[in-house]
Amino acid sequence: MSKQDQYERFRQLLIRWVLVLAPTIVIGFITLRFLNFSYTALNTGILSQTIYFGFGLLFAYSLYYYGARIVITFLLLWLTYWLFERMINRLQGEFDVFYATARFQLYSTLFIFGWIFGFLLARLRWSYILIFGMLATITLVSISDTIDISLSYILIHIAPVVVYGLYMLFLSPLLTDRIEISSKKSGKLALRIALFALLILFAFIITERLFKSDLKAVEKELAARGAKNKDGKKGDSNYDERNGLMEKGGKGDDGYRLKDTMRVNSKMSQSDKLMFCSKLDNFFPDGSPAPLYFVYHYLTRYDPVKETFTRDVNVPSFDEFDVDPVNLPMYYSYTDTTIFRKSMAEKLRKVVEAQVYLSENTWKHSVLGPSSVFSIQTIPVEKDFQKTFLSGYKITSFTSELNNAYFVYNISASPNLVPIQDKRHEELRSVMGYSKVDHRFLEYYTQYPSGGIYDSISKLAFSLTSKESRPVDKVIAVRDFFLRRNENGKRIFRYTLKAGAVDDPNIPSSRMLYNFLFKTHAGYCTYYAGASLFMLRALGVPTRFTTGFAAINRSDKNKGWYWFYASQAHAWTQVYFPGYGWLDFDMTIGNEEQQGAPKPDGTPPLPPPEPWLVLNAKAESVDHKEKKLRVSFNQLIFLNTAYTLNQSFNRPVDASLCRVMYNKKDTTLAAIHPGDSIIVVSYKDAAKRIPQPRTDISIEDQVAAFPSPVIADEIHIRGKEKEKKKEEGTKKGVNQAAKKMTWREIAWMAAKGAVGLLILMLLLPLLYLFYRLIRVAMARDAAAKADQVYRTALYRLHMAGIERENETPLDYARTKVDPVFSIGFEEFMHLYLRLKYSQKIPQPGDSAAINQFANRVGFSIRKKSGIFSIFNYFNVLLALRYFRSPQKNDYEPPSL
Amino acid sequence: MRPISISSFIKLSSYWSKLAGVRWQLLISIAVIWGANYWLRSEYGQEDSNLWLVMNQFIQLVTWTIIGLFVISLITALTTWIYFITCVKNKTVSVQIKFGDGQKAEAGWVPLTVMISGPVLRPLLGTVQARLVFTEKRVSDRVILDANISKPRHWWRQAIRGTGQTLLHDRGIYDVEKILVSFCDMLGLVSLSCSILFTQQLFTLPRPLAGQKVIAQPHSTEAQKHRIDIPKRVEGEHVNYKEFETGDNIQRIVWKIYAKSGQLVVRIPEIKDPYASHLYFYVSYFHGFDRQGGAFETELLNVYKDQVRNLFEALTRNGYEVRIPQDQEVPKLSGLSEKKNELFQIAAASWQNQKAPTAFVNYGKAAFVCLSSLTPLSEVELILKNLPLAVPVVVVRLSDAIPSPFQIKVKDILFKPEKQPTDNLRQPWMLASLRRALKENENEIASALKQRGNSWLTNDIEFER
Repeated sequence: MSKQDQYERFRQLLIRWVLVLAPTIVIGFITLRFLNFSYTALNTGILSQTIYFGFGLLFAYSLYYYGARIVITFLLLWLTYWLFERMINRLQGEFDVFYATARFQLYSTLFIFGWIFGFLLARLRWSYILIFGMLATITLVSISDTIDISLSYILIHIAPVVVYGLYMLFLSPLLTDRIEISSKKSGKLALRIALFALLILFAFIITERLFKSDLKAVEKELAARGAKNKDGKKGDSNYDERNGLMEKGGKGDDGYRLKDTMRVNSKMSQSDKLMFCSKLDNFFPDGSPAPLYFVYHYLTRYDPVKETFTRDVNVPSFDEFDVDPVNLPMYYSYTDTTIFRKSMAEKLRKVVEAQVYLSENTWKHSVLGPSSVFSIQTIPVEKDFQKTFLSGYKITSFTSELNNAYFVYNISASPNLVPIQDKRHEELRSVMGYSKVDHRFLEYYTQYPSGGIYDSISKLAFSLTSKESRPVDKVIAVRDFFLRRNENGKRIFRYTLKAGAVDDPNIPSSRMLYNFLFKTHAGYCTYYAGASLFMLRALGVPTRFTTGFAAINRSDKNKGWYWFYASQAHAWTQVYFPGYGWLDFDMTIGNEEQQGAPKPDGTPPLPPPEPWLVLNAKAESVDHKEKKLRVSFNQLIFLNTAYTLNQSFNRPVDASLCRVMYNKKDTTLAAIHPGDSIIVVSYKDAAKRIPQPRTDISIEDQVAAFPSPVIADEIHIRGKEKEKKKEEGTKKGVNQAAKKMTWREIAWMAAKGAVGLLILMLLLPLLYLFYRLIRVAMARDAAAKADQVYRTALYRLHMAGIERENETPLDYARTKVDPVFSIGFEEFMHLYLRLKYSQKIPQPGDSAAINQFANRVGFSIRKKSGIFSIFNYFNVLLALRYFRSPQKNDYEPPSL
Repeated sequence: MRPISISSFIKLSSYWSKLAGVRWQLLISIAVIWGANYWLRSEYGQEDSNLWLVMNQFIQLVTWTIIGLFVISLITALTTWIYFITCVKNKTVSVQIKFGDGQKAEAGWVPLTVMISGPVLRPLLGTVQARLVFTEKRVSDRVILDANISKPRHWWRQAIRGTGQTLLHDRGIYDVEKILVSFCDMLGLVSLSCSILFTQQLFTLPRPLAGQKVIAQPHSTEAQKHRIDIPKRVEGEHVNYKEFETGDNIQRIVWKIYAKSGQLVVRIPEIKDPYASHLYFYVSYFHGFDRQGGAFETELLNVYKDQVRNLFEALTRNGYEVRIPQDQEVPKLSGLSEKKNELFQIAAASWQNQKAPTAFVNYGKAAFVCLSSLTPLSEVELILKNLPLAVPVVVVRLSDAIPSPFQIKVKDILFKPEKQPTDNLRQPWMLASLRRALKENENEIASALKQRGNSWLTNDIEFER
């Protein structure tokens, strides 16, 4: 083989590296990533895995491309493997051997896989079909192990494999030939691949459109089955924006998606990610902590069409606290006293305070707390805990004394709770019925569809208790139904994450609930909550589906502190009792798996010091040396009361011992620039002279009497940037609104733009003519003029329909132009050529001849084609052809 | 060039498979899609499971997307193909091919250009391919017509063209019977063919080997010298004359012509002695063994032709005009230069058993004799006996024309050697009776040649006088 051939062969190999191996490595990476994720092989370095795979692939492909013998190379491969294994086994130290063996086996397996793929791709023509099948199988098997299944989930994971298969199918006919890499050919190839990709996309979109109704039906069905997540936060993605926040993880927003905790596989579904921790000031009289369930959302409405529970903010007396803590400046609070009214409870209520510290996994846009939260105040996170917790807030809730996280759920673990529970039931027995309750409210919360499955569930409910019995007895009857035991003394209902055939945690559909109640008797919280809701509503008891977190008191080391992990996500029912309000009733059977937390509780963050003064101020000047600044303010919180002042105050601030924070991260005083918006916090502290609030004088006067300078303990920079961002955000919001509102307008604008562009394009030939004419007019000497006239004439003649093909200009003039127009183009050509090539010395009369010719061209064209010949200039294609240089036909017919 | 039956079957089947239209990809893809569907259904097809609910939808979505793509792909191929067929029927398309340097090329991978003029449409993202069909339904490799030839200064094209190469191993004449134009869809699922009648003769030359030196001279050098020294007078007509050059004998200047036209011309002798200017190179294609016309003999002929061409060129390099008298009727090709014509004659010749070398070689004229080892010993002996000793004789050893399968290099242990067209003949040739007979014959010839001198039995013409 000649050197050139060898070089060409090597080039072809390189091209195949790019066209075949690069996509294969990419698909390998995607699959490995997915596999690692699926099989919880955490932190094994997907990139290095891919490198080993890719290396095997490249090496084998190149080897077999050059025709390496299969048996010998595989023998060598095996020998190398064996030698390495021997070497590793001889290493010193048991752990080292174990570590190295594990590594070696992983990487060598990947390398060998890459090797085999490379071998197949180089040697077998249809190997990509095999590889495609292999990858698709691996992906599908991994998908099938996933609990949280959805169409988009499958599609996202299988789509790359399908695209790879189609790409290779498309590419394979090209690979049998030599691929040229001239710019033209590779450009063509790139274009073809791009077009093909577009085609796949179109085919997919069209199919998706065609199947849209089916897909919707499936989504509905899934929604009905509650396929989205265990706690049913997302029965239907459209039902509430705030619920959507839980899904925002992917969009760069914060927040841990409940979805993720449930994904992967059953072993991983009990995710041990820390969501938040809380200090709850709720204790039994004996001083032992009394945990409460933390509510996220109430799902009040049951949609029989979608078969799902949805959040409905328009419900009568909806007592959910609606505020986004992110929007509250530090130490600012927000109180919604209507919650008291909306909770419709006056008996046995108490105010419970809690501090909540959110980890990065939690969605920070909604409030988590015991039921009926009515007030919130943002608090900073102590410096040492900032790695674990991003933000915190203090909440106050108007909760019932009868609520307790221990009821039903863990009652078997603490028999001493039975009397408390009985006492609760006794208290509630005073409620006879719902005759005095607003009928609209009652109707809403006892809404229950009829027919089929629903009827059999309500039948079951009525078989448990009579319609006349008191509400609490109905609740107990339902609870007892779940606690029933069979003749062997074993529980009939049990807790499982794998409920029957359906192996994914979600809000169950009516059919699944039916199966749960009558056949499988196995489910998890949403099954119990859903089924008890159905039964209670059927019995006429107002009930709602509540999602949130179960609090578990794991140790008494830090009393009142609770740690919430993703696995504690929970669903239960709340039942309304007139006068007592909404009370938690959790029917879920105890679950051994759930009792032990995956991690022990951590160290609680130090509670923030109590501030006596919080100024929402603007930095006027900053003295970095002296660590002093001047601020102006008209908003402040003085001993937990927020004020807005009638006038702006200007005060010096002593920041010598102060902690400066920007974006919740520590920084230095240098970060504060004049004009920044800051929050100055001063703690209550014995060394400070703290003025007492007085009711007899105005707040302005009190502020005037504040000690000066104000000793700052914390300064939070809100910063201009932040404001800017906010502005941008609002602008974006506005834009989005505009977008949403005026799709039609956008279409109009696009259409206008397109029309404008079209007009411009139509005018271009004419504009070019003007340009040419201007150039003629501006030409100075005869030679330049002749040149310009020549160009203009060529263009005008072309636009008049006399197109030059492969002729020389002179031929064109002689054979095509003069016979039609008889303008003496040939003579002019001679003149032009003479001027061009003979030192540009014009002869007398040349100028006149040029002018004459220039005039004749336009005149004859108009004469011949009429005045309407101007319309030719709108023929863009014709004009474009003028600029297209005639292609050389380098084909020579065979000389015989 | 008649191949053995199995290979001819393979070649024929390859031709028919090109006509079949459906390609393996389609069948395999359908099988894979069906298999995947079946497997997924049996593996996950549980009623009432969320996984299946989604999986089922997913299967449908993907299956229909793929089917949609397939349909688009097939429809575009089909419509363009039908359009092409109608164009062929209406004679609005024409085909041109260019082979090697127009008509001939050296055997092996031969560059090939095919151009179809007329309104030809390509399938969407697909290709139009062309193959030449030679006699006996031998099909060339495909040429993808991927270049557009547009009308000068026009957007629409007037022709499509493609350049490729095809393996034409046998040295000789190839008659193109038709051109098979295939319309291949973008996914390569089908390849719809349409054949266009097309006749053209192409021929492949024996391959040049590394240049060697073979010294041979015209049989009677003295005669030539003598004639040049004493030129014959030519009476009357100025039949043969040429322009005067430095070194020409001034006595031979024709003054009459100078007087008339002012041109200095000299006469050249009218009667040329052939020995003076031409070296007669006698090549015998005599096949003295049982002639079967199989693939072996075709390959032996290829090798023999290469050797003959090599000898011919080596002789030409000596500065003489070499003529090759033919021992058989060979089709003539017009428009070839003399040297090319000789080459063509070598290429077009085939084994014959009519004219034995003894009946063919003119002992008086021959300046160089080339025989194959297929020549029986008796013939060789007779020639050696009658030929003057000064005339070299070469017998081309053919028993190892097809290399033994055991002939391997160190590199071949790790890497497969490049595929050669004769690879599948190597083993059968080891066992062939013809080879044994040849071997014996060659041994005998070798001993006969030894006695004479100035003669060689060789397969590697690397000898000096």
